[in-house]
Amino acid sequence: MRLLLVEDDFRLRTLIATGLQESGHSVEEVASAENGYNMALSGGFDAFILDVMLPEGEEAGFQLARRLREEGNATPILFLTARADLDSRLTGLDAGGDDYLSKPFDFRELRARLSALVRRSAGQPSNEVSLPGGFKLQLLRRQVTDAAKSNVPLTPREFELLESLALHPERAYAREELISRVWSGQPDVDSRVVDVYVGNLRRKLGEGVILTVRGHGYRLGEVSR
Amino acid sequence: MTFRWRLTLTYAVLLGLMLLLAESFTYAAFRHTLYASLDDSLKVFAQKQARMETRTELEPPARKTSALDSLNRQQPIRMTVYDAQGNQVDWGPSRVEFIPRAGTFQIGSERVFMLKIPSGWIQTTQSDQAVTASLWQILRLQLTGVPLMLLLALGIGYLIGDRAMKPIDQVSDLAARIARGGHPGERVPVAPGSDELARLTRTINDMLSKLDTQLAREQLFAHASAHELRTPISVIRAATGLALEQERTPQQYRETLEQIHEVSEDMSALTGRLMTLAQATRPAEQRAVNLADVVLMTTEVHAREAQERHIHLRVSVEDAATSGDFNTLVLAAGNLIQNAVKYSPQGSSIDVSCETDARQVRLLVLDAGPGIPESEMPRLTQPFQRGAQTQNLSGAGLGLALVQTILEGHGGALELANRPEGGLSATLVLPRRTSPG
Repeated sequence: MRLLLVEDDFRLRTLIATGLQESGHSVEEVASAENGYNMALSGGFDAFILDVMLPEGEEAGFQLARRLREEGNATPILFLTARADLDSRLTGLDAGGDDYLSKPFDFRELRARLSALVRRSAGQPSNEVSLPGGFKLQLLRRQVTDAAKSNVPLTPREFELLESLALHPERAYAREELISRVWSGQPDVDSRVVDVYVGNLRRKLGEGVILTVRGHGYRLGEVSR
Repeated sequence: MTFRWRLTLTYAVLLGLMLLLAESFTYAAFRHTLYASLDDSLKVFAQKQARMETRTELEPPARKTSALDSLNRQQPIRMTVYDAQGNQVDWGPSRVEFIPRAGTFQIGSERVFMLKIPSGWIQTTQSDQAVTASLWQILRLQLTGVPLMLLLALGIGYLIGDRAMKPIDQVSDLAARIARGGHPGERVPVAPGSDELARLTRTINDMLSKLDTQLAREQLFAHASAHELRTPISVIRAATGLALEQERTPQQYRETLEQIHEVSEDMSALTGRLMTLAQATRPAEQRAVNLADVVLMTTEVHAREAQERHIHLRVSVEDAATSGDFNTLVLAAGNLIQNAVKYSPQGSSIDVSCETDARQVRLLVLDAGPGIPESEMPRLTQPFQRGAQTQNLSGAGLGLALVQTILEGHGGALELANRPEGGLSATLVLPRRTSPG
């Protein structure tokens, strides 16, 4: 998943980013609501993680969420804040937040909530997404299992790429978009790298798992019901 | 038994006793008067006859006719004339026997008057039935009247007692509610006037306001403390959680430990600031303080910090008398200077001064730093009390909350303003002490 993290405390921001990157997500980190807004406009995020108290003010996080929603941005928002009282939670959800987690938090919970948020917004009913060829993608455990329920070893990047395609099986992704989602923060990634990874995935999961959309990019293969 | 009932009953018993005494006295007086008038008429009658007897002394008792006799019997007053030996010689017959003594007597239900005349005795008698009937009537009136009056007095007494006790009830009800809920936010309706009850309700309300303010501050303090600790705890939890998730290299573990160490240093600094804040929420001592001394002391304490950052502290003072606690005022001023030092560019100057006018004294700290965004001003200058935002009190915020609290305790205020020429002007405003010493 590609995530945007807006948090003004440097240490906490770095820690959250590191933790999420370790579990295979790509994270863009910014320290202010203004930078968060600009980054959000660039698009391609699966979820926003917003602190509420930012340098712009006491409720800058809520205001950012409101602004994004007013402009039609439907990306799931998770508030991660020290404001734990009911009023703040209600304000946050009312401002367009989809979930609310108060500090201090447990990393596993943050990951589970993010995964559930993204799954719900992608219209996936469960954490298990069906892939072509009887494979299943386990969103929370970040694994792919075959029909016999045994684990298919994938690298984090491979998983990330597959996840991007699997969460939105109806659409095709351009190579550049996939690069920004999976290889975020690395400016000099050649678009042929995507082809290499797709090749690896096809070798591990079968040719039909990812289809090539000529002149555009890739999409998930048809899942037989 | 409630106090109002005890009061009413005591009052009713006393009233009953007094009524009983008054009624007995009235009854005795009435009785005396009635019998005296009865005796008087008997006496008058007898004396009239005596005069007649003297005039007709020599005539035989021929006037005794049966017609007169029967007429005599119908009279309410019966008169009998006796000779010296006690034989009836005229009028009669008597309803009572002869009494050979002069005076008034009671024989059965007859009132008897004996008058000595030269020829013998004149006896007049009358039944006292009319008198006893009247007396009985009076007694009956009293017997029904007294309980009725007592009942009325009891009712009115209870109402008066109830009215008097109402403020006390309200106070005790309120105390019970506060004891149950633990929120001294309610007040008793103030009893009108300036009597003891009005004073009681006012005193109770004053006490509740004081408690309320103190409690609100302590709650706020607890809230602020908890809030301030959330971020460092989040960092520790995230860092440790992450480190323990999988095998790490010694270098990674070392980094995690360093992170925790740094955060713990922040936390102990934070705890220190919170402790100072807790102490500052106590009411301030009221001693004579000269703000000039506060300026000199504070600038001396922070001179090194300023020097290390190559910032020049410019001090100018005049006598500015106020009252309060010297050390906490130094703490408040010190916080302003610390902030100024922290945010001022190297090589700039900070002006610390004090001034006085008719009503107020002021301690000013002017820096050449970036100032404070206008949007943040209201929050930072809000008094540290209920309703104030407590978020983001760390660093300068918490320091300013501390300054606010100290000034509030001194009846003063903190004023922050961005200077037109750039930088922040922070002013401690305190009431001026007029009498020296």
